[in-house]
Amino acid sequence: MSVASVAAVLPDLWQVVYDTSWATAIRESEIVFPVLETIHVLTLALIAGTISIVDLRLLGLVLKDEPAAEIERRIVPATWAGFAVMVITGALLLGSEAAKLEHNPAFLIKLVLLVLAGSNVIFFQFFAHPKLAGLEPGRPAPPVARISAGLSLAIWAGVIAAGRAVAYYH
Amino acid sequence: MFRWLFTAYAQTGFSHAVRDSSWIFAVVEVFHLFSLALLGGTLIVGLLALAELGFRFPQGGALWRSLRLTAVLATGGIITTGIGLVAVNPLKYYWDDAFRYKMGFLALALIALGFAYVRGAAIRSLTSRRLLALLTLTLWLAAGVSGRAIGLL
Repeated sequence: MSVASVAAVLPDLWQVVYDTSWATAIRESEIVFPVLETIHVLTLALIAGTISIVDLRLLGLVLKDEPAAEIERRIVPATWAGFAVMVITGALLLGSEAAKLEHNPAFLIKLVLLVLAGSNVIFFQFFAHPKLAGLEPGRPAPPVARISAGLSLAIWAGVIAAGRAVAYYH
Repeated sequence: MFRWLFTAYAQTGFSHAVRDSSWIFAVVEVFHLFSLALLGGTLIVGLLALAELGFRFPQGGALWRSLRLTAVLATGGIITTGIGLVAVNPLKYYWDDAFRYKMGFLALALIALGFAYVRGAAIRSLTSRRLLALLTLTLWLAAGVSGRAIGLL
């Protein structure tokens, strides 16, 4: 299947999702949509917040006396749990607004930034994480970890900003 | 009770600027969310440590002290940008029930956080520390949900 044919099918897929009974039910409910949106926004804030604490530790700005690897190990499970909630609520919100979001530039930027955030996590796991093991408390993180942390902070700030901008392009 | 304050705020140059601008409110709102995110991260780490869930809690609350930068930045950011957001229509906020709930929960959450920060390390009972952590987190969540309700109700 060529890129052009995939691109031609995508708009139909958005519309199919938009027309499903569950998407319509969420969209037309006075309760479900705002509740999902509130959970999504608060979870996004918690994820970005916990990731920020790890990033700021790697940059040597907070929790300097705690081992970086230990901080990461303790926080990551909470981050993944929040991420799962954010993806589920995000998918339900996306489905209910699919036909409108298809042409929303802020939403598309948010998606690109989320892909970049995921790529940065993979980069961190392969190139920075192995160097954190054995790093003593108080010692600065290696440059590759600090670069990944700086990128992470910038990307998640972008995700929050783009996520909020989605409403302004509706 | 504070109507005069909101009325006076609505007449300031800043309030007029926010009302007349198509972008100031949006920018302030984004920084409000940045502060909320930073506060969320700080609370999760600080309160998990206080409750001894995952994190150890060093004697004397060294972990809390190490989070002072993010705690001050996040709390100061939320309050400053929050005041900025109200500028768009102070009297509308004054009469908004969700806003009043948010202010109430915010005041209680700040007291609880301050108490956890200053006195948390001195509490010997783990159960009491866990209850304090749960109470603080619940109050901040209530403030967050009330804040979200301002735009929806």
